[in-house]
Amino acid sequence: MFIDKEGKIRKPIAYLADFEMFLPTCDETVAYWKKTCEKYGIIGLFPGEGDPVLPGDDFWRRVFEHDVNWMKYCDMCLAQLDDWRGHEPDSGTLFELGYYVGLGLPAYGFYSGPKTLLERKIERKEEDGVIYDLNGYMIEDKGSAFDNILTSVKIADSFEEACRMARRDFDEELIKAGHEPFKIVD
Amino acid sequence: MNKGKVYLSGPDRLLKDRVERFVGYEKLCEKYDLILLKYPEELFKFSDTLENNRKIAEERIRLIKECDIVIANAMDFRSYVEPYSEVGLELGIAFSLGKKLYCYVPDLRTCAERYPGTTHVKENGKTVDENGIGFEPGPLNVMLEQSSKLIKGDLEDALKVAHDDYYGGED
Repeated sequence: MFIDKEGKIRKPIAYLADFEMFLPTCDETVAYWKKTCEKYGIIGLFPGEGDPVLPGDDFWRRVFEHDVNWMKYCDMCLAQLDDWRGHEPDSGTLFELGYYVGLGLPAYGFYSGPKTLLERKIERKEEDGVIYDLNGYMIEDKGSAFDNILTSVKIADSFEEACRMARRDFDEELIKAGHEPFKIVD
Repeated sequence: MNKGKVYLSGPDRLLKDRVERFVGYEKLCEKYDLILLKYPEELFKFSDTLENNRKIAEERIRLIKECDIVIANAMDFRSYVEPYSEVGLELGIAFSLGKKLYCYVPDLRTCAERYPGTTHVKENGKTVDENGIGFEPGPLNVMLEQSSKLIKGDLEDALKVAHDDYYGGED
């Protein structure tokens, strides 16, 4: 439960931003995410849901529009920020998460890797006390696993923890407005 | 017409010559009658506290809200086929706010063509890597590619296109 833009109390719908569609384990992972959302009073929505995008002209444009329509429909975002073919998350997932950040809507990431950029296993060199990767790009020491702009997002170390974080934030608003918090049932 | 305000996204702020480089970028924007919105100076530091890091991020989001145009250096970064993490997030923020988006890359080959490992085409026509994991169809992720104008080249090439789009041929 949460208080929506119109002041109505209902379950928030979370856009599940991820790269699972590329993986053979997609169905099981998404099923686990949706079940976990339910536990915390959230409805998880996988972007692949709904009417399939049919092959034909402008196929990828229509895939984009399909996903953007779901983004507009959802109240919040839960984004998978684990590394994708290297030391960076999937850029499409980040784009989707950014959409919610830009609109000031609840946005959470989940990521299970090292806690800081310096702890990441990036090949490096040191020059004048500053650490660079081998292509000459600084590896920042600013207390975050990601670069600066991603510190605008609350990032948990697991999917369930991200749901828990969101639930805490929604419950805080519910209590402030004089309502009962959501009861989590294991 | 007011001059277009530009926000630059990408990893260039991490290069050793970052301060001089951004002075050059400001001049380059001026050459195309555009104004570069400058990052907070602290962003160029190597080390900082998480709290300050967050304040700087808030200031950068304010700059994205203020700009008319976001131009991203979407080159592969510490990854085989993905740009710098800030690029995806910043383009998403800017898209939600209705800004004009541009990505420049040095190479327009598809993700699968750039991938240095082994790839093969499955029966369903999809290209996968040695672990059976699929690829985006074009040079960038579909979300980036469909929301932005994709330009092969460098910042100046992107500025030329952004200038023409913004001023619609007037000079």
